[in-house]
Amino acid sequence: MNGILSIILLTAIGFLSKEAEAGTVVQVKNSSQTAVVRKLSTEPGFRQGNTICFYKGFSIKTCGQVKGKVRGTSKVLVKVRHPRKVRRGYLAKGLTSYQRNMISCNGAVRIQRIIRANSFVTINRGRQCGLRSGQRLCFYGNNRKQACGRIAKTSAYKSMVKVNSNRIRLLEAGYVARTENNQNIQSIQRQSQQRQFQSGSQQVVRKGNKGDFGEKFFSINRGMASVLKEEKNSFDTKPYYLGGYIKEDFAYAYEKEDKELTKIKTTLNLGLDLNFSPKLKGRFEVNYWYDHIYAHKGEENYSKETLDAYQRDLDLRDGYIEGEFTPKLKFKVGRQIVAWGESEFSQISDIVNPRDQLELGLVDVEDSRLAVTASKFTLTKGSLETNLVTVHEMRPNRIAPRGSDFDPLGPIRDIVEFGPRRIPENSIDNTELFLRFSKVFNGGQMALVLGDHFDDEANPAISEFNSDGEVSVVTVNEEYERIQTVAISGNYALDDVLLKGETSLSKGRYLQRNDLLVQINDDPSGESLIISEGKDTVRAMLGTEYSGIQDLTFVFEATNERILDYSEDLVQNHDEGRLNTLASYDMLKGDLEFTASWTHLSRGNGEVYRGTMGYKIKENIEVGAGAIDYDFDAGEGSTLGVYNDQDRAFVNLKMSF
Amino acid sequence: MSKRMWNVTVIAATALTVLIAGQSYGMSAKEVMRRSNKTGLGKTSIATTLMMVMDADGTKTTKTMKVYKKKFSGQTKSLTQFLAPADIRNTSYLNFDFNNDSRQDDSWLYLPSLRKTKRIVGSDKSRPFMDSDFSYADINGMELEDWDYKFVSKSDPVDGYDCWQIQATPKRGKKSRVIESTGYRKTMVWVRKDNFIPVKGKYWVAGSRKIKFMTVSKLKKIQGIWTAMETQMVTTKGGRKMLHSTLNQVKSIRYNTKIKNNQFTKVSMEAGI
Repeated sequence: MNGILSIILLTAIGFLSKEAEAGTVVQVKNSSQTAVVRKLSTEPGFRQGNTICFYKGFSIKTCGQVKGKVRGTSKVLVKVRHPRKVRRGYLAKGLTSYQRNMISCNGAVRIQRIIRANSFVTINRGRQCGLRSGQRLCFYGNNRKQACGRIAKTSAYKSMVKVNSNRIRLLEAGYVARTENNQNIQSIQRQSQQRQFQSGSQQVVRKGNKGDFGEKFFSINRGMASVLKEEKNSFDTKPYYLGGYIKEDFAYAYEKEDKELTKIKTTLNLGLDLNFSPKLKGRFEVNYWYDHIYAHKGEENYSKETLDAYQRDLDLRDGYIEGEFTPKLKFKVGRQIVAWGESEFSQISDIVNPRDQLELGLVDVEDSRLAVTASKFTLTKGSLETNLVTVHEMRPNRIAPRGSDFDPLGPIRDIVEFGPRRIPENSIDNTELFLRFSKVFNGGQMALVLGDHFDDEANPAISEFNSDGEVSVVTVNEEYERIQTVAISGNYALDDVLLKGETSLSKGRYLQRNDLLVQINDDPSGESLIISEGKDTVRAMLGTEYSGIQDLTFVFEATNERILDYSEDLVQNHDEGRLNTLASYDMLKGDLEFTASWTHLSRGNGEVYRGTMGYKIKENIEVGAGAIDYDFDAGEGSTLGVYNDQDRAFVNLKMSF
Repeated sequence: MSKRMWNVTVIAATALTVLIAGQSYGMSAKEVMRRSNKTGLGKTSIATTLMMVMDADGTKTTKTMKVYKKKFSGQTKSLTQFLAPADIRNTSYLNFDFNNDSRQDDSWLYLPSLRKTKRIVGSDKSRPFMDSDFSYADINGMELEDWDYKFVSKSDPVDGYDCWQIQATPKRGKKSRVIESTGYRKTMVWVRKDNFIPVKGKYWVAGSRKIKFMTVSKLKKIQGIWTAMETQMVTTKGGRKMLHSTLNQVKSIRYNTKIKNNQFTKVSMEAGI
């Protein structure tokens, strides 16, 4: 027992000896600006005139000096300028040698030691007094300048100065170090501070010596700081924000017989954010584009449909108000895009918005969804999110029109005449309904989507059949049928890999038949012609995303669509699959990005290759370039073979504001 | 009680009291780091920060963001919304950082151009945070138990403040995993003794000659919490040649204000600023 106590006591004494100057405040006299300190040790740490600092925990509240002579008493008086900052129980400690050195940079800077072998001298000031590696100092003795040199290394309160080996013999310990102009060292400190704070220089690195421990990097770059301070701080509270971009696109068809420029498109995008209140916001975004190529080559060379679709467009991409009824129940009403699902390439549970398919594979992903007028209500409870979306605007997929380069119906236009599209009216009866439940958990997410909506892909319905016995012409109108969809999607993260999957069942989709000519031969009157059939289809996707290599993202998706109750008379195969692979790589801290993608389509046994590059020239200016290559089987009956000549090389320039 | 027994008791009590009083001054390097990790965060915080990334040739990019943070039981949730520049405005990043290191972070990124929220994967915290010189490990902190700490100096002043200079190296059995997850093979930090804030740091990047230097150039006590208002991270080649640097400046910050739990949901991300 005694042994243990002795150890404890000795340990305690060890602590005490380290903190020999420690004491506790027992009384504070505001009137006389004095604190009475009871010393914790008997050692003579508190001497008259010594600086004593008062700690609350680990932070120094204020400092003072020991007042009067300290005799054998255990109590000392410390004079403090701010007695109100001192409380009973605060710890009082004297300063160690380096702390005293830290506090005072006044007085002469002198040579402490001379290392003649290496031509170094040590001086009694360091970083704490503003000295930095590379600074030039001169040494004065006997009323004249004896030698000069540059600081090679600094510690907190000492520096080593490299002096010319021929001059070092002139130096002696105690010589005073001053600037070259015989100024005090303190002036260096002041000048250094002024330079750091006032100059707008963006120079971060000063030349220094090896082994300088990167001290040069530890000085804050005031140039950067000053630029930052110029930034307006108003974005945070502005009731509105106007932004957008101007983009110029050029495309060149290099695979056509007559190689030609196919696009000189100018796009203006304007977005306006409105903050009515913390609970009510609005956003409006319009895209206007005009393609100069048609005027340049002569509009008379293009069909009206082509000009309508490709020459100019004004599209309201956002036009909604959003807010909250309660913190858990939010709404968003107006033109909007609702993006669901896991797939980057296929539309499985992402069924609210139609798609822009004017140029297969060329439309940027961000522009591929077309906004619709809808009301979205979101109820959040913990990690469960429920969305109810009602779509009030029937807007089908935008497909390439007759006569255009990307017309998907080109091969059948000889026997089929297409009448106007019959887009369902925007009415209460035609309102589309979507319900989604989404649950987030650690590492993953699951979602269930139910939809009662129109198929955004057209059903070609026969409106007229004319035959003179030799030539038959079928006139069809693109109609849009009501279908029901149920879909499940989910993802799960495993370290650097994201596994994802989606599947959907759509009931009542109308699919095109491939036996039109046979039917006409069998029944020349055309009364029993059937051009499409209603079928149920199942789509499924399994995919993965890998981000294990810095700056590289790799995406792979395998998708299949199966027709239930399949008949051989359909254009579409029983199973149609696609494989999508995408790799993107960032360089230069995201300023340079490369993307390469490959898509394999089982229909037409086709491949689509696409490569792009984007580079940020400036903070708001970006240049992009790329190429797309189509490679489909071009045999008889092929609907996709027409794309083989539509390979494109493209460049664009975008300026955001 | 005998007189001898009484003396023993008094001595023991005194010794224990002195031990407890002296404990904070005799802390181990790990204890300092533990205290340091606990400082600088309220239960909640809302900050507006500017992040300027500068290349060696002087090219600058500035990002402005608003960051919401809230501590929950067993995890810290943060939502970062970008205010500027224009091309990334309204981009949001949502992160659930679990205290239990065996649970991987949940992260999502909302891209306004796609109007879509994507789950982000990557256990690799050595990745740059928003293309800056700070890594996710720098921002979110490193796991204390993965490192061995030792004092290089128990007293090295930085800008006039006494600091502990502490070196950290990955623990022997965890070395490869720690290096893989943080990207550092060694770190050295200077922790201020008065407030436990790391004000200076040097980070050796594994598998390369890169060395990163961190400095806190402006500290301010806000609502009683020491806050690094300006922090610079410089990436160098071999400690000499600057490759690029990032300055993170806190424009405004409020601690312990009420933030609703549903601020940290995908719905909030998509609602924008």
